[in-house]
Amino acid sequence: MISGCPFALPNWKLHHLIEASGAIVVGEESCVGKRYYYKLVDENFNSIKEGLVKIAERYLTTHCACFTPNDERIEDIKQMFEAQKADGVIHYSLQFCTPYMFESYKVERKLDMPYLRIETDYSMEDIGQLKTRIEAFIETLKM
Amino acid sequence: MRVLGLDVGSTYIKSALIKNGDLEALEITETSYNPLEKCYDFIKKFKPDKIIATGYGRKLISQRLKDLGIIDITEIKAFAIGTKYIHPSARTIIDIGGQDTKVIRLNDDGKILKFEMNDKCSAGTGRFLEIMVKALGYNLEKVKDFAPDTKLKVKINSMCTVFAESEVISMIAQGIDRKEILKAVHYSISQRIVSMLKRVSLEEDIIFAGGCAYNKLIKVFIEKEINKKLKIPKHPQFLGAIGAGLYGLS
Repeated sequence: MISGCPFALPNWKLHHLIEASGAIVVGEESCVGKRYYYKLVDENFNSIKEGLVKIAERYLTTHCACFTPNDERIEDIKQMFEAQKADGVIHYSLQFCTPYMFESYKVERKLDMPYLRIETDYSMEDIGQLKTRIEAFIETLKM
Repeated sequence: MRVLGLDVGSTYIKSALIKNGDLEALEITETSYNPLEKCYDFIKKFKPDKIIATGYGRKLISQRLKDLGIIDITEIKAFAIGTKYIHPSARTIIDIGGQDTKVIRLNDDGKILKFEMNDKCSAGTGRFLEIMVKALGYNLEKVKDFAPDTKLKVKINSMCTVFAESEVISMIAQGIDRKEILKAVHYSISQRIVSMLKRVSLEEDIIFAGGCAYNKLIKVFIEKEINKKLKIPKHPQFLGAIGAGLYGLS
C-alpha cells in the first residue's frame, strides 16, 4: 500500500513502477485515496449555516500531514495495512511537500511493517533509481 | 554448472564466474557506450550455462539477450548475497559506485532489513569524485593512495556536482592549495554516507564496497565521524557480480 502525498492526476508514476515490478497497490492512504471517502459529512442539519459548520468539521478530520500532531494517521495506516492484507508500506512524498517528508521519519519509527520511503517529483528522470529501490523492496518482501 | 554474474554498473561492468558453487574468475571492463557488446564478450569468453544480470543496466541485458534466458535481480539483493558469501559477519554494507550510493542493513542470516539509496543526482557518488578530481588536475587512480590526512582547512558547501565544481573552481581562483580542496571533496562525500549510515544502521561489521572502497581518504573520514572501523571485503568492486552469480545457483 502507498501512504503519503496526493497523486495529482494523471501522475501514476509510482503506481506504474510498483505494478511493473510485480506487486499490486492495494490501498492509498492519501488525500486522493481513502481520505476522500472514509468519513461522510453528517447530513442531519436544519439550516445552511449549520450545514456549513458540518462540512468544515469534516475537513478537520482529514489526517493530512499539514496538521500536527497527526497521530491518527499512523492508526489509519495500520488499519488499512491489516484490512487490505498488505505486505509493505511505501511512503511517498513529493519534493517540497515538507510536511510529509517530516512525517515520513515519524511514521517509520512507529510502524513495524516493511517500509520504504520514497521522495520524488513529477519528472521522469529518477525512474531508473526508483525502479531499483522498488524492485529491491519487493524482493525483500518475498525473501 | 557455470553461472555468470554480470553487474552492469554505470561506469564499469563487473563479471564473476561461479563454477560448481565456487568463485572461478573475476573480470572488469568499462561500461562504455555499448554495454551490451561488452557483456556479450564476457558471455563468449566464459561460456556459462546460466547468466544473472544486476546493476543499472540489468534490464537492458535481460531484455535484449532474452534468448539466452537471462534473469535480472536488483543490485541491493545481489550485494546482500555476495556479502554473505565473501564477508558473512557483515551487518552493514556501504557501497559507493559510479552513480549510486547505498547503505544496506542485514540480519544475522544475511537477509536485507533495510536499505537506502541516493536520489537521482550524482551528488556524493563516484562520478562526483571523478569530476572534482579532474577539475583539480589529478588522476583518479593516484588519488586513492593519498596519505589519509583528515585535517580540514576548507569545506565544500554544495552537494550538487555542478555547483560543487564551480565552488572548486572559485577556490582554485582564491589560490587555495589543490590538496586542501581535494580533501574537502572527500569529506563532503563521506558526510553524505555518514548521514545515510545514521538513518539505516551502524551495526558492525560495517563493510565498505564498490569502486570507491579503494579510496583511503573517504574511508578514514567516515571512520572518524562514526567512531567505528570499516572493513574492506575481498574484491570490493565485485560483490554485486558475485552475488548475482550465486543467486543463479539457487
